[in-house]
Amino acid sequence: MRLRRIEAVRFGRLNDATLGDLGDGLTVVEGPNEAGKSTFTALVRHVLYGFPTAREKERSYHTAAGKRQGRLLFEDEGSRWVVERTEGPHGGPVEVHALDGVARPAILDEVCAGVSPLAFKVVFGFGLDEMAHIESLRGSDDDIIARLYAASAGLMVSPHDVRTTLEKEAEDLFTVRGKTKRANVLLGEIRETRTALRSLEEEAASFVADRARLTELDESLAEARASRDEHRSAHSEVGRAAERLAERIERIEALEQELVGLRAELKTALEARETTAPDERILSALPELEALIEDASAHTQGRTDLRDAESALAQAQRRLSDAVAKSGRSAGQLLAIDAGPETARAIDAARDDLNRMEVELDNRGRELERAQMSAAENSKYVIAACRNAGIDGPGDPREMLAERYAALEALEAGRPAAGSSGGLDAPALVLLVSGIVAVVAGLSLTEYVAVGIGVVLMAAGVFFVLRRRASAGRVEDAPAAALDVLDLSVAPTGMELARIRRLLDACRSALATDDDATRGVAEATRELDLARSTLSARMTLWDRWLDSAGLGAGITPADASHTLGVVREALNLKVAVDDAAETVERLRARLDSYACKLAGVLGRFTEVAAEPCEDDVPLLVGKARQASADARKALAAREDSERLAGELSTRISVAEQKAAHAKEEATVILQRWSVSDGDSLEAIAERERLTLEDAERAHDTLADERSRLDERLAERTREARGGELRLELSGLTERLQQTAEEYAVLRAAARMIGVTQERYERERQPEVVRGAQEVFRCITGDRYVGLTVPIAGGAVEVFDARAEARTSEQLSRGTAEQMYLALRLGLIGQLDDIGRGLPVLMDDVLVNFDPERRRGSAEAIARLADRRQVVLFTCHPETAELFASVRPDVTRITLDRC
Amino acid sequence: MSQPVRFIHAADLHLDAPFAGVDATDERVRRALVESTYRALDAVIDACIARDVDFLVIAGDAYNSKDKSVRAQFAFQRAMQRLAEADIPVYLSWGNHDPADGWSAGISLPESVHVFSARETQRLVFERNGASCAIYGRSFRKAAETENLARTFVRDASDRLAVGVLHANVGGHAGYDDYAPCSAEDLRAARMDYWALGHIHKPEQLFTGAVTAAYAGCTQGLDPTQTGARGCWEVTLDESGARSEFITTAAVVWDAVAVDLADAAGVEDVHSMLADACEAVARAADGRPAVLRVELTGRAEVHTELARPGVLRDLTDEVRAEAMDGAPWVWVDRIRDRTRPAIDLDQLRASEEFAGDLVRMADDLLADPVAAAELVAELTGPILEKGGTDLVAPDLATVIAAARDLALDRLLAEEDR
Repeated sequence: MRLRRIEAVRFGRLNDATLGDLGDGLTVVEGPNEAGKSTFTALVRHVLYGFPTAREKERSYHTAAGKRQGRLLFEDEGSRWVVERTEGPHGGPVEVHALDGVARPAILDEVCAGVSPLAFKVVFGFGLDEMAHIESLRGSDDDIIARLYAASAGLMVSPHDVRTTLEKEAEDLFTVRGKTKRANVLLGEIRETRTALRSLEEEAASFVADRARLTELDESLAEARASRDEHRSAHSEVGRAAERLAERIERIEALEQELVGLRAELKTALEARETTAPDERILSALPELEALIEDASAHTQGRTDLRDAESALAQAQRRLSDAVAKSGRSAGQLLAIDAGPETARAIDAARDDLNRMEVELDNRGRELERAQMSAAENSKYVIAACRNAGIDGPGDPREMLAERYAALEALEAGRPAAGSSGGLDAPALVLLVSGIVAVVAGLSLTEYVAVGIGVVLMAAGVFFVLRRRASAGRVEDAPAAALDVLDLSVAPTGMELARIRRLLDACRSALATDDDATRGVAEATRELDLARSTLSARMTLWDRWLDSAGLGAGITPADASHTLGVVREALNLKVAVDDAAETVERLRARLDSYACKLAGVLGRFTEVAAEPCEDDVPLLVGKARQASADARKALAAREDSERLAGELSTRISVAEQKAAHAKEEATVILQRWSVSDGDSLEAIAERERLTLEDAERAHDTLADERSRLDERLAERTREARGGELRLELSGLTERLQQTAEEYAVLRAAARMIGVTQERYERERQPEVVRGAQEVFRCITGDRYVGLTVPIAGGAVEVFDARAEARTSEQLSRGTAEQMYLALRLGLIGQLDDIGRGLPVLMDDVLVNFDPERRRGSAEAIARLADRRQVVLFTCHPETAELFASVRPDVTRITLDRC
Repeated sequence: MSQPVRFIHAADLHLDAPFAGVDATDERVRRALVESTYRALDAVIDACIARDVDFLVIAGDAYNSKDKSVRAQFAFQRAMQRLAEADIPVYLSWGNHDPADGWSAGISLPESVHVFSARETQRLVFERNGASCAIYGRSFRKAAETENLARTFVRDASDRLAVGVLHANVGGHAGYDDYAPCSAEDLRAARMDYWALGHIHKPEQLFTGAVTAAYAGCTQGLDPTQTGARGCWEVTLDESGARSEFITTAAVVWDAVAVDLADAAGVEDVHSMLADACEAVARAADGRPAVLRVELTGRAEVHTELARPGVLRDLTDEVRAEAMDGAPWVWVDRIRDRTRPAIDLDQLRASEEFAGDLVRMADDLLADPVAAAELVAELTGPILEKGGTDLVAPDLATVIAAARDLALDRLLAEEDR
């Protein structure tokens, strides 16, 4: 692929300017200054890689005509494509048009593949300004020499880059004086963990001493506790003594004050006892008087009872009069009747007898009726039986029955004897037996003819036997009279005679029953008459008894019983009247007695009637109550005074004893503590309190220390922090170990690359440098024979024939530029397919060369043009001529000044 | 034959011991690890009581004296008290971590705990219910006990049964301090019926038969290398020999797995394979929480992606969080990337290019441990010096190979990186 034409639509001072057609190999573009040679070189780069933005420190080639725009026309095997870029964001949009041939939208990427914008600027499109950049950019990210060098060494990336990256990664892990790198951080954490562990171990080392200290503390604490308890006991004792003493003193004072009060009260009580003396007369009568007062309610009740008794007496008398009047007799007659149990039993016996007899009479009457009805029924049966037996009509049936029995017996007497009439017919038997034999024989001999004959013989025998038996029993030569009596026309057979007999027997039985019924009626009639006579006799006896008992004849036992009840009621009422009268008398006497007794007692100390009437009694009772109450009140007042005085005396005695006891106790306390008063004892108590506080403080201090120490020791027996720290240290160490290994690998890899690189550079100068060296040697006419380009990015050195090395800084400008040109030519010569479609654009790079070296350079460039498209811009006609002489087929283009 | 004796043989309880090489940032894991040695002690005591054994022997290193852990010594006292209440005597010898002259919190043990003298080998006799057994033991006087103590054990002719209790390195176990060094022949010469040994943290029966010698191992694994079952032995001993049953007491299980990522196409695949590994570990832990170390191995395409900064860390965080959600949990302590890039090193070695030079230079270093050690020491010296004695220099071969792979990975990566 070749760049055939460069078109500047709008770019810097170029407007619609075209440079072309460029040759396949070397093209020399000749033009004066300001003809646009550098502008065309820049335009190619910007169309390929984009227009620079304002932020990029590069000449921008802006134009007032509008947006920058340029086109490149590429040609490859007869096809042509236009790549057009217009100013815009991100370098400006690109359009690719195929003028001939197939579309290749990615043609720009194909052309630029492997060559960065900077590499293009430095290596492919350069002028004098960029000549030294090939060296100054070494070590940068776009060290084109390193890249190309690496490619020539069989690597995909620059060993220098790789080494740099590895060392940077290693430095990210660890630096000797670093603090934030991973390994440095781990080292710091390990130090801290070890310090913590040492601290724990020191604590543990003091564990034994702490346990010993704990034992000491236990002993000291026991002593302190004993001391504290001792002082606490002493303080408590003196405190209690002081309290007791104060309490005793206070108590004594209280008791003395109490005694003064009690004595005053005693005096008052004794005076009151003297002023409340009761009336002795009343006091002497007081028991009787209070007894009478106590009976006053009984007296009142007695008066009520008297009135009730009088009322009951009147009522009983009225009821007695009513009972007498109701009996219709006088009171004397009524009360004279004996109403005792004998009378009642006699009435009951009479009533029972009469009732039983009346019932017996009724029963007999009903039996007679039943006998009469039975006799009537038997008569009907007799008539039927007689009719069945042929007894009918006038005459005594019994006689007619006897006549018939006689005729029947006569006929029965004329019947043949049972043996003759019932005998077997011999021929019939022979037939029957023969038949049986024939059947048996036939069956046994299977002679069915014989069996048939036998059956016939058996049937004949049976026939004759039956006929004989049917004609047997008939009366022979029966008497005619008998037959007439029995209403028979022919002599009857035995069976007929038997039937006649059964009918006659039934008739005879019916007649006998009829006779029995007739006798029963007569018997019932006699029994009825006897019952009537018995009842009549009992009634007569009853009337006689009523007269003798005073009840009067002609009444029924029920009436007699009623009368007897009235008598009994009258008798009871008489008894009630007598009892009520007696009660009235008794109550009245008791009331009178109470009134007299009350008047008698009251009369001993006051004026009352000697025989008071009944109505005076309430007034007397009132007086008695008043006198009794007054006496009791006076008596109680006197007793209260006496009791109070006694109590007060007792209390005074007790208080005096208590006061004496309290004084004794106070004396004992004072003597126990050898003091004379309470204040001295208080002073002792205060001293003891202060001593106790000191002892308690000492004890608490020891107890606190022991508790803390004990807790700390217990905590150590449980604490897992040691294990955790050791595990933490293990983890940190492991991480550091891994980091160290990772670090070692990175550093070793970097080191190995460096060593290999050094050896490689020393022993295997790569082709790219070798090519550059050859170009440089040709340009300088063997003045310089060697050239080294360290991969690591060190200074480029050249060697003269004496192996004397010089860096670029030690060379003249022209020689240095020749070295840079040689490097470019060497590099590009080794690129092979990289940037295959890119032309090499050189902008008057030979101006500082002397003629000899210019020619050598031209020859080297011409040789490059055999493999790559080269466009050389120059404003020097002699340079153009030089190239034409070196390469006669050079394409020459002339530019005019813009 | 008279009645046998039954006892539990434990050792190396290391109560409250520091856990080396684990980075437990989760509080649950920290708590479980800090408590694990105590829980293991509880498990031993529970086993003694539940199995109603005749006595318990502890062959040294009940706790670390130098840690000065009061809690550890009190916990030990309380445990001994439990056994005293259960009428189970204890025969105890001190080891290199709790020697007789070590720091003590001054806590007295119950009378039923018989501590063997550090001056001479003691013979104590256990007798109960017709069973009798002589128990010989010797404690460490100081931590670095270099005397062959096994030779001081001599069986009395009257002993029906004899048990030797000793904390010692029999046969020079690698990785352990060579304290009380002795040989199997020394043990056999003492004519004990059973040697209850301590010091080596992995349970192991050195020899069985007429005479049995066994390390109980530690009751709780103490660092990521102490994987596998940890506990104590229940021993039934009579004239015919010893029969042992191992009892697991560890409260937290340590495990380590290597995951070959040769078939992993991306980080998602790695994630899935790690999750499977965690599940397998959880199942094998038999209901106990586990601490797991993972090593990613293999020449894998995913190596480059894993080597990117932060990728492995993020992956570890995700897998760790998921594994901690399980019941019981699994703490993924570390995932170490030992994968190799999908680069043909032999091909590079044969080339004359830059990468070939680098591979050859790495080969030279790997072949010259002195030079490699100097290089690694120079590079890591500042960190190791500041980190103190707990840090150890990284493995030379690991560092050189990892550095080589990292450099190649970066140098040969696509430019878009």
